[in-house]
Amino acid sequence: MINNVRQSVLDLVRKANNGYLTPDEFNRMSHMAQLDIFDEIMSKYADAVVKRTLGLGGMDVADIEGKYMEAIETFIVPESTLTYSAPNFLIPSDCYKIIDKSVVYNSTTPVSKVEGRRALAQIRASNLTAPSALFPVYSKTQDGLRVEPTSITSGIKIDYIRYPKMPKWTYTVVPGSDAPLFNISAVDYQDFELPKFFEDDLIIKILQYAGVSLREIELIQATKSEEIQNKQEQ
Amino acid sequence: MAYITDEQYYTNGGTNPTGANQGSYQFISLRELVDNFELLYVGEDKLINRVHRHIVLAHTKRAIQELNYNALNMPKVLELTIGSDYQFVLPPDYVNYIRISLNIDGVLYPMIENHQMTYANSYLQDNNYDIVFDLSGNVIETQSALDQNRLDGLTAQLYAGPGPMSGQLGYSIDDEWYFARTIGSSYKTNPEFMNTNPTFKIDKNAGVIHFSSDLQDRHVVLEYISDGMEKGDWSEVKMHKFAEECVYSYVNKELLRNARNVPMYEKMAANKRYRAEYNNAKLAMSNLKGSRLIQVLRGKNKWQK
Repeated sequence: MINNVRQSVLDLVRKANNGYLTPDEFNRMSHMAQLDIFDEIMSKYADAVVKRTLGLGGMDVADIEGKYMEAIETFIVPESTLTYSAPNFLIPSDCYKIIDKSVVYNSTTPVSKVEGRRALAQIRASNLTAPSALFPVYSKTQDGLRVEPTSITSGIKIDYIRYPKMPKWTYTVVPGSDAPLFNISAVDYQDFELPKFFEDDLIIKILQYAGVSLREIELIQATKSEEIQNKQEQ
Repeated sequence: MAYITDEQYYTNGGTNPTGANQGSYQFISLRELVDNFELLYVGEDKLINRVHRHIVLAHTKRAIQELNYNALNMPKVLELTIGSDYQFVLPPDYVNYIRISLNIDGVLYPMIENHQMTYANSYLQDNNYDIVFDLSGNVIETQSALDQNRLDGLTAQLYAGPGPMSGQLGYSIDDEWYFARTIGSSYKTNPEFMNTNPTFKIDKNAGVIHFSSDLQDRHVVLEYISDGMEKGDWSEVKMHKFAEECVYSYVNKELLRNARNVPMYEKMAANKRYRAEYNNAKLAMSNLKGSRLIQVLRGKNKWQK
């Protein structure tokens, strides 16, 4: 998909005589565009869930929630074992969000989430909620996950949504030619990870960034209006 | 939780204690109760949208406690031998007693609670009857005369005087004689005290049962109610399957009761459902069997002599 997107972007930029994007510039902009769309998918999924709970959900092609969930599923890392570094379990560096109720101890015991240190103190103080090996809890800190009881120092697994990998349009330079040639076999090649139906959105986003960097106000306006039209159609 | 094989049920797979699984099918564990509640009652399209597991756990434990107090009919029984202090320290999971009996050769003789005080704290007093304090300004406690009297006790003696009680065992206190009376033996007596067995008095704060002074080296059986928390060993906490639905409805109504944006009629409906489930559980746990009822009713036309 990345080569198609790049060709489309270059065609549109060239058509308006708006300059040229080097492969490195394109890769950086692609990364930013993909992250933007990734964030949008999350918030649109949340909106779709709210709509469904209000009885406004659809089925098959009208299943908006399902469409976004499909896109999100690509990024779910299941049963990732966390490394313990006292007093925390370290969260993987590519973690965007830990999936609710997915933190387990010894593969079968759910670990309950506690929000805030004050709540944790209250939970410890009550016999009804005090953490135990059968009913452990965790709180999120800057350094990772703090699991209680503190006797738990291994066996914590999480399902999490990771960030998309940085896309990389790889190329080779052909002697005697100015244009770099797309090389899909390069070791560091990385395609976009979003599903195919987000291709248009990616092109529009990259064009927006290209317009910004090229200081071309018309390009920005054109892509913005295209984006608004897309949203209205939805 | 997966079902276990017959071999695991009868022998626990050869692991000690080998009888650990016997009878386990009657019960559902605390862990399963919490898991099932989260699965069945919590979700985006349910009335309880989002709740932390430890909150569900807290309400589940409260449900188990309440059912243990009132509905489960599952008493715990402890037998101890009474020492020279005539005391029975309450078990660590004691909440209230059902019955306290004297075990004589395998026959249980129920004892009654003495409503008169048989124990007291006492402050040390000087010869002017002023209370004595230590260097820190605290009163100095000493054994009360009431406690000492109970511990000293009285031995039954043969009354050889005149009257209908002549030849009976009795207790002489300050030249007055006192006799124990048996049930049905006399008119105009208070039936509350018509019991010849020893008496007891529970000191809730001190956590002991005080017995009357004729019980040393005798076996006393305490039937009591606990709260089902198994002294914090959560893997042992369980609930009878007859009361499973009652636990779910309790947790449901408690979560809804404290929730914002839940209409009052939903809260009331949840409460009503809990009451119905509670009554069902209580009835089921009362162990009322048709055959047993028939057996009792067979005596309805019997002549009473």
